[in-house]
Amino acid sequence: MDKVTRLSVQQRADLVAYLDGELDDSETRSIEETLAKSPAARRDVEMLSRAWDMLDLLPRLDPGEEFTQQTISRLRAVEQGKQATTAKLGVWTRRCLVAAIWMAGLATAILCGIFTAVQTLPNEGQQMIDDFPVVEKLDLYESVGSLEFLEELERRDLFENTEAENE
Amino acid sequence: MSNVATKKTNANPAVRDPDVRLMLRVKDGDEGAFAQLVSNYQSRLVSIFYNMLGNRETAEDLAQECFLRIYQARHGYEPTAKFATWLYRIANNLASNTRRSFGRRKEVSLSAQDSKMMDATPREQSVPEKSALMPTRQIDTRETREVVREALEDLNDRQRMAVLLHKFEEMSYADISEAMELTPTAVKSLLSRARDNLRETLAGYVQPAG
Repeated sequence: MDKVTRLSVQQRADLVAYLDGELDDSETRSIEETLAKSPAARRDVEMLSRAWDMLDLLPRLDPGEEFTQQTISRLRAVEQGKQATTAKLGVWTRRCLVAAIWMAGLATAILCGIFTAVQTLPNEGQQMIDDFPVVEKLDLYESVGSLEFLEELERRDLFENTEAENE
Repeated sequence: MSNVATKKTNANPAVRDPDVRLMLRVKDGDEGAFAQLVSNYQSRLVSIFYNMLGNRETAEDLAQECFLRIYQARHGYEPTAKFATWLYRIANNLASNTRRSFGRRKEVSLSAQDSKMMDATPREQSVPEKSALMPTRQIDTRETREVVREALEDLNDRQRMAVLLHKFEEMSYADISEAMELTPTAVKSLLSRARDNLRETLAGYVQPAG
């Protein structure tokens, strides 16, 4: 293991994890043995470590107190917007509810009206059924003329003679 | 009843995190606690976004967006992990979405304000010529900063985020894996490749001891 390139992918990952203190005891011992045997591995660790330290030069920004205030203000604005939307939604919901109640009342009134009408108004169909026996013999009744005429016929015993003849 | 609740709360290791306690106060409607959280994390968050995306304005917008999402999620907040892990998971998703929306366009040009803040010259003026990329060359800090920034920029998004969380936030592999929704093994591999890439890119500027 004289050259860095001979390290396996796993060993290279372990080297980095070793630098980060992320290996357990046995893995750490294994890496330390590797480092003890290989000057190239030691050099690699050194280079990895120094390159990592160079990242300290990366900028770290401090947006300051103003940023905190701006963030809180933005948050309040969003929350207020949400509350306004919720309030609008509430008004709309209330209006819908009132409209629905009115519609339900109207529908109930219409249904009650129909029911009452059905119960109270004369039913022409039923009237015709009731009158059917009379209608059926209407021609005969019209030829008789009147009830007085029939009673007169009965008083003259005309039907009794006819019945006796028939017998 | 409150004793039971206290015992339950104490049994949760995440509650030992002072920022989790602040977040629980935010959940109870304490706006001051939220301002404290913003103050605690704003610098770190803006720095990470800045180093991810290379633009200060975008970095500040995303940091605000991140805090806003945290605030909006307060009612359903449950302390299951460290606060920072949750925050950086949101930050990672935001950064990924932003990078995707930017497409291949690179936002590398720094504003005059950024240049002043970094005490660095514009990229085109400070990038050393190839002849200058010799280990023995004495380069000034501004130039080195630019080189380091370019080395970071050469990493892919996931490598860069893992590096920043590890370097800036000193997060463990386990915490990074949680924040980036990866396995710890994947994070180990990601950081190994990232550090190899950095070592190669910065080789000309790193002199081995001895």
